[in-house]
Amino acid sequence: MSSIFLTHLRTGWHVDQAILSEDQRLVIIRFGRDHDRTCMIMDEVLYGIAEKVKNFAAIYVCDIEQVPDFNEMYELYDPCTVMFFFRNKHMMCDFGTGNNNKLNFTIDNKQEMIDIIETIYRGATKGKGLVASPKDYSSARAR
Amino acid sequence: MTDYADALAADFGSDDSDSEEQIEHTESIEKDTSAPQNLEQVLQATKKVDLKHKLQQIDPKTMFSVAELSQISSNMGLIRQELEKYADKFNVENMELVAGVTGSTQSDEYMFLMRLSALPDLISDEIEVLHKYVSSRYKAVFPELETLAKNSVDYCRIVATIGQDLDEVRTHQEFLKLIFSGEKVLAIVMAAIQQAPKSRELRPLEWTSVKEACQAAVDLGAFLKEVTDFVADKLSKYAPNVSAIVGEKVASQLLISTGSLAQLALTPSCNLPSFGVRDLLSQQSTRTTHIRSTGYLYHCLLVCGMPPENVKQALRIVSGKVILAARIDVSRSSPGGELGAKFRREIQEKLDKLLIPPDQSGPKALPVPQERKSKKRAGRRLRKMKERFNMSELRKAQNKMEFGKEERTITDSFGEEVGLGMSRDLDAARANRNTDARLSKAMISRLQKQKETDTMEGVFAAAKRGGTSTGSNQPTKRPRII
Repeated sequence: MSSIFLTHLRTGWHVDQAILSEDQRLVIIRFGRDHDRTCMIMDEVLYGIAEKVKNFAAIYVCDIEQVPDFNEMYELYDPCTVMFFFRNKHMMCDFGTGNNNKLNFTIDNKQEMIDIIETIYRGATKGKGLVASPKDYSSARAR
Repeated sequence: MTDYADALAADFGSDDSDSEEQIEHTESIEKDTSAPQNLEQVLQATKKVDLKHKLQQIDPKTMFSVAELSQISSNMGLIRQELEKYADKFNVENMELVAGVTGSTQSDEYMFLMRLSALPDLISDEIEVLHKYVSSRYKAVFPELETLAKNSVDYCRIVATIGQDLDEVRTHQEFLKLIFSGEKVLAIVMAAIQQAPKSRELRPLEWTSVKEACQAAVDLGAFLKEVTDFVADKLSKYAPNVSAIVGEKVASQLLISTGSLAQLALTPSCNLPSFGVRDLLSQQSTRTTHIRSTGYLYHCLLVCGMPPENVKQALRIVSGKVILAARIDVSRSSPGGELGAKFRREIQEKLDKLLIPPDQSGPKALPVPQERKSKKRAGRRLRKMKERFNMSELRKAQNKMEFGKEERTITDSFGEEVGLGMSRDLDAARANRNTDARLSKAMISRLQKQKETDTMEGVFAAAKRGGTSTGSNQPTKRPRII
């Protein structure tokens, strides 16, 4: 239910603008369906930390059924996908899952999520395109 | 009295209503023989009758007269006379009374007050009995009224007014509004109208006795207020500061429960909230909250309005100040109650602060993670700093000992023996100089400047001969030389 508190991106244009407009902060977009169980868990975590990380990250929510424009480009086939952008650049992160492009498993711990966001932000400000996650998620499965 | 006890025992053994009537008969005879002449006897007579027993005996089968149920209602006039007698006395000899309280011997009037203080409890017990009696009869007419009107006196008053004709209850609406709020009145009226077809008429004889009991209960209620007001009014004069905090009524209740003002002053404040906690038999037995001490203090104006989670703390605050005020009253340093009023204001402020909700601030945002240069872990400055904390040569030498020789020792000011080791063999020049006090360059130059201005000022002061010289360390504006 926390998804109602997060900003929804209704069209592809909104998604583009969200990524383009942020200059200093990381843009985090959760792609998925609001009613999906994994998405609900993820939204709960994201909403819980949104206020804490607002100085260096902006969190948005995008429904992949409402906005199918990116499904092919970003390969959004998982129930819940979280992607990171910084200054119109896609940020990659090595979670140990084999897919560095996105976070396609659920994280139900707020502090872990904050740590990941911080690490990506640090790397992004240094101009890196790929950072290593603070924790190895090779055992985590897309639920 | 022994006859009575035997009869009582017999009554417990058998449920026969005939024997019950007999007992009542003997009881009334006993009462007739000793008609009470003064307050003390009234109290004694009332105390004799076991309330619990009385409550148990009330069952629909038997009939009572009001006089049997209540001793005090018949003696109200007598007590009133005594009250009036003492009311005048109190005004005249007030100062004497105050003196009497602190001393070991207590005045006659004070004793009277103390005796009188037992009366409210007895009266409320009797009201309870009457209420029970009325409700046991009136149940047949309007059973729901008992739950709608909790207060015994109010219940009796309503019964006396409404009567048995529930269809006509609307005509009494104005009267009901004097006792209850609008919604409650509506609830009672609706319940009465619903009950009307089902209700049973009481027998005329029964109804008259119920009406009588109602009247007696209402009278007793008024009398109870009269007596408590009287006692409160008189007793609070002994403790002006205490009554300034908790009000006259509670102050007098506390005085009564402790026995005297001096005793109240000696009571630990933690015991105060438990004074006046009513036993399980009383009407306030059904407690919904988890507050242990619903005593006199709980019912004072300062505390009773507080939300349940703050009541405990409020009780603590108030009881602490009450004890302080009682000590002030004993010392008679503030006979007008000014200090008590001051305490009251303080308590009010504290309680107001308790009621302020905690500020609603959201979670604090984390700072932006920034990469900072790591602090230097080596270099000349760090080395110098480390040297300052090094063990000196002298100390090292002190820790060594020459083989086969006795160590020289000294005794320090605490009487501890301190070994000198091989430190005697070293020159003093080899002691660590790193630990000396040091000044930064900026500080040295500032001190230099200060010194200069000081000497200049000294020169001018000497020139002026006794002129004003500022003793401040700030460099002052230089006076002009003519």
